[in-house]
Amino acid sequence: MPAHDLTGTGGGTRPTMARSMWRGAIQFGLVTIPVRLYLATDSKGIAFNMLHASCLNRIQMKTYCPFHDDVISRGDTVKGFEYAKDQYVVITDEDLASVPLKTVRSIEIEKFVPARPAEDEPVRFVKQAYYVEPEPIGKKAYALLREVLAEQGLAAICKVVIKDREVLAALNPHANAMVLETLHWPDEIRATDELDLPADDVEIKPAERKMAAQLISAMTGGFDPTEYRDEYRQALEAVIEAKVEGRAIAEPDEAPVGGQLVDLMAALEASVNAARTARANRDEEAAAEEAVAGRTAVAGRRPKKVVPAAEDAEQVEAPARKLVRRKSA
Amino acid sequence: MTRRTTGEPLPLQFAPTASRLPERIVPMRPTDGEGPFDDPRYFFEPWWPGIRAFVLVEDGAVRLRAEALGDPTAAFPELAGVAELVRSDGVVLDATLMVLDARGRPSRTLLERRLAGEGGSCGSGGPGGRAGTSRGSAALVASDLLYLEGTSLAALPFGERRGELAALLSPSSWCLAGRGFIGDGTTVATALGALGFRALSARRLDAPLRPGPARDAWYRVPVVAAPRELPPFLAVLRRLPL
Repeated sequence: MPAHDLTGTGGGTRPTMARSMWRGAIQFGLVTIPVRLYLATDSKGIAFNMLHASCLNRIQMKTYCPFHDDVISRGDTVKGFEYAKDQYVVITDEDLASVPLKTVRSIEIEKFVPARPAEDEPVRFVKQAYYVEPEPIGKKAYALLREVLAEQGLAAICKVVIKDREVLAALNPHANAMVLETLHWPDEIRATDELDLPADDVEIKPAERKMAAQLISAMTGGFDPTEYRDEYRQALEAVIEAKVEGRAIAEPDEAPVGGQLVDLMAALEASVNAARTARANRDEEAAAEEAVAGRTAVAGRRPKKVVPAAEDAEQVEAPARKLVRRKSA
Repeated sequence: MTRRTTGEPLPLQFAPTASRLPERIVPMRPTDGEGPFDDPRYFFEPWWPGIRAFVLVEDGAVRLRAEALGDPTAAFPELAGVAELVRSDGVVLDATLMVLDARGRPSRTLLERRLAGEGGSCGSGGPGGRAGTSRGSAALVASDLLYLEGTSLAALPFGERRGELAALLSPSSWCLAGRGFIGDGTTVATALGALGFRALSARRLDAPLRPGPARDAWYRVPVVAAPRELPPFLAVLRRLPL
């Protein structure tokens, strides 16, 4: 039955790590490594149901035929393929059964390629990632393949039969496991021709290029996914939770929460005070030595060390005297 | 050629009105310093990660002039509120304009989005009031006072201008005269490095305002974000993307 699901929506299966969604084997020359696949990712969107506004009952979607002006049962439908505008050919279950299907559940390695795509190589558009787990008898071969891939910086391009259909995939080492990423077929990837993109000969001044490079380098760093969160979903969950508990929903506030800049100033002050304390402790010994040696700070435009202790070099905020001029106004 | 090197004075044109404020301000330009130093004649404060802006308050109206921007007032409507915080009139502030994210940290991304004109239209047009989180809130840290009651303070030493500034501006959660420290620049630099700041502003307290290159009146000193033996809470603060 799943073979006939041409829409490919995959129904409402809710994957968990507990259950493998595929069993088969990695085929690699004469080597066969029996493995299981587990979905590596989970989609965390928030789904809503449609209710009738007046009675709040879940609405039903009926199959309706506009020609007969009638609700019909699903059993009364056939599959049609629109080969031209409003022109359909009926595809029966027999037609589908006649399509030669691969039933061997295998991950057939076709080629080894660099794990990171070269610059002139098209982007590998990933559909879905799976964790690959070896069956007990395949553990050693699995470890060997993973080690070699990791060592050589390679990924294996392979064809996998999942749900009776063949998909393109890349097998990558990932920590102490391997990850299989199913890829889109080349003809599924849209061309960029229709986009309004800047021409190759856009004139960029060296100064602009330099500025852009500076900006980029200032913002360059390692990628730590844990720094990022789906803030929209969190906010939405909070809204839902508040409603469930009957609380009023906190309006997203346009204005800043009070004291933000003040907090920043406080953090700054705390930091400077901490640094001063650390400095004072360190300087105590040094200061004693210097006193013995009778050294004074070098007079000059920029003495290396401030002469008095940091204590009386106080914060400015208040010192200046008022201008007389202001009083007259 | 529309780009200017930072060394040249930047002419800022103001609308020709019967203003007591100048039509054109040639800003003082900081000298690039080599490293932090201690000197009791200098006032040290963070180099706030934003854009330099001149805020003009006259007859209760606020005008904003920023480097390389025509009219940033449109992108920062909140700043009209500065007029209420200033206890005088005919005022020009030299300030840094930032955009704070939901957690109150200066965000370059949000600032750039605002400057690109996205903030106004996209933010408020978003569904369900998501505007608040995506736009951030504007924040202004004033560092110098150029005009008071329509009169230039250029001849006053910085220390006195700063004192006037502190007396002039009622602190609020989004607009303040910046916190600063006299003398121990190296200690302040250590603290700023730990907080994630990239640079330190060092202004000479006895220096008058000087259009163009500041020479020794004002240094922009780079700060090295070196890990130090600081309390753990500061280690957390160090992650602030400043």
